Amino acid sequence: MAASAGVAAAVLLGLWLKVEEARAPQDPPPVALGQPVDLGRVELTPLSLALAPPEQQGEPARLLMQVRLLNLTGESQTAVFGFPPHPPELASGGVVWPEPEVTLDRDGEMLAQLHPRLAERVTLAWQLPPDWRPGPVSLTFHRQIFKLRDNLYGMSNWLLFQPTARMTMLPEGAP
Amino acid sequence: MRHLLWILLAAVLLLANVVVGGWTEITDLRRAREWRVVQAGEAGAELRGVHVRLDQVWAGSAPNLSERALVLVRLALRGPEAARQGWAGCDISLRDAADRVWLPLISADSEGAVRVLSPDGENKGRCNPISYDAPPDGQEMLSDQLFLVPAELLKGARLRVSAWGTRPEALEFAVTPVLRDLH
Amino acid sequence: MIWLGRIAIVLAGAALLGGMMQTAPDYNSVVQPFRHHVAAGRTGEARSFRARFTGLRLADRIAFRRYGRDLVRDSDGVFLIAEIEAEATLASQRLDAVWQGASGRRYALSRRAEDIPRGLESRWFQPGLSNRAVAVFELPADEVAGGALVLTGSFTAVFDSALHLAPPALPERRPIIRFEP
Repeated sequence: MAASAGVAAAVLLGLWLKVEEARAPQDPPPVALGQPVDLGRVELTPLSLALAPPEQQGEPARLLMQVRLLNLTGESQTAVFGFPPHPPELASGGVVWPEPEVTLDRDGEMLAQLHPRLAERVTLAWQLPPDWRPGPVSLTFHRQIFKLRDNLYGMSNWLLFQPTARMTMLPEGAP
Repeated sequence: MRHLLWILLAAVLLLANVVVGGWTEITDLRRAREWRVVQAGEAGAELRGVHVRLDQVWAGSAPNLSERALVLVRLALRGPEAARQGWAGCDISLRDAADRVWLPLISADSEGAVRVLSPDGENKGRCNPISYDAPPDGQEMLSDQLFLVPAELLKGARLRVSAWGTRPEALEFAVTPVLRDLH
Repeated sequence: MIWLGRIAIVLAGAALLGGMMQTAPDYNSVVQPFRHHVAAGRTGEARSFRARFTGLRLADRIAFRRYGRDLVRDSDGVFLIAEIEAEATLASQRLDAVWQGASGRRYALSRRAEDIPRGLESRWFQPGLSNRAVAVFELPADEVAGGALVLTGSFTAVFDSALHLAPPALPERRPIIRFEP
């Protein structure tokens, strides 16, 4: 009797929390250039967002975001944007663009790894969709949740992603 | 009495859980270990429908690194297509009397070394009984494996051959390489 | 009076359970490799291999050739080049290395130095044959002194041995080190 009452109360409470959440959709807090964002494994500071000519003739033009990345964990990370990777999500007019290419500014090669206490400047490059008309774009940053003791084994684990910040701006060089 | 029934049920379910979990673990372990080793002679031996013969074993050693030697093992496999399917992922290793294990080299350099070491200058490729260019049933298919071993292993070693479908059974050959002068 | 006894039993049970929860080690500290600390210059014995930390070099930049291209890598920190000599004892195997810095942070092999000549990640160690290899790390300069080279037989090495090799005397930092094939 007491157990079924408890279960019913828990279900009702959960439902009510969900309804509350849906009633007031929470937008992630806005950020601007130069403000650091905690993505879980790394701290990302957007430095600039600009349009750039194509890398090679015949390819579409690109949108480049320069960022500073700092590994916040105690070990070298290969999954800089979490696993599965959640790099900053770029949307324009409600359409989400495909994932960017991430290169290390130091040597122009793909970013393979980020070591603790060694901050790196990195460029994220999106190819412009052919039908894109210049205008403001929005970038959503996702943070992966870390648990020191998860509920299954009590081991440390990286779990869900949550939108943690949003940046809306007009890229430099846009007419 | 009702309590006893529940306790018994719990015990039975626990046992079933252990049996099911343990069964998959044990089959996995059997697929990974060579527990039943059959000694094969010069003429080779058959295991799960495939006849395996040790075709040739050559060895070479560089004069300035005389404590180490390269051993090239050429195996010949023969069997019908259906049996060869069970030999997919065939694993070959060299062992000494103390049961130390040497695995074949897989680097890009070993490709050239095989050609240098084999008298016909050919590399038959690694053991793959289900390759697309397999010869018709009944004909032998050759493969080349290269090992880097201490020179004392040239006096005698054992070669183990097994595959995903044959384990825990494996074949073992006595190996005495023919030393080739490489210069 | 009976209810007093019952409350006492419940309280004692709660205290016992709470104590167990507080003192039980968590998964991460239980599922660990077995560490062996090895003094500088000594040979460490692990379950399946033995290894010695033979040399240590520090450089601001490294240069090497890969796929016919000359590459120079620079860093905000320093490149630590660890030279090791190792031998497998049971079966042919590879080794993985991590630099455990002075702060306890763990630095993995630098992917920016992938495919350098004699690089550890492409090396196989055979039983009975000792082989040399280099491991390159990229890390802040103050993580070098007081750090240790951790060698394991596989990536996680859980319930396997991990050699913590103390570094030999620290060398001067060189502006550039070139790796010849």
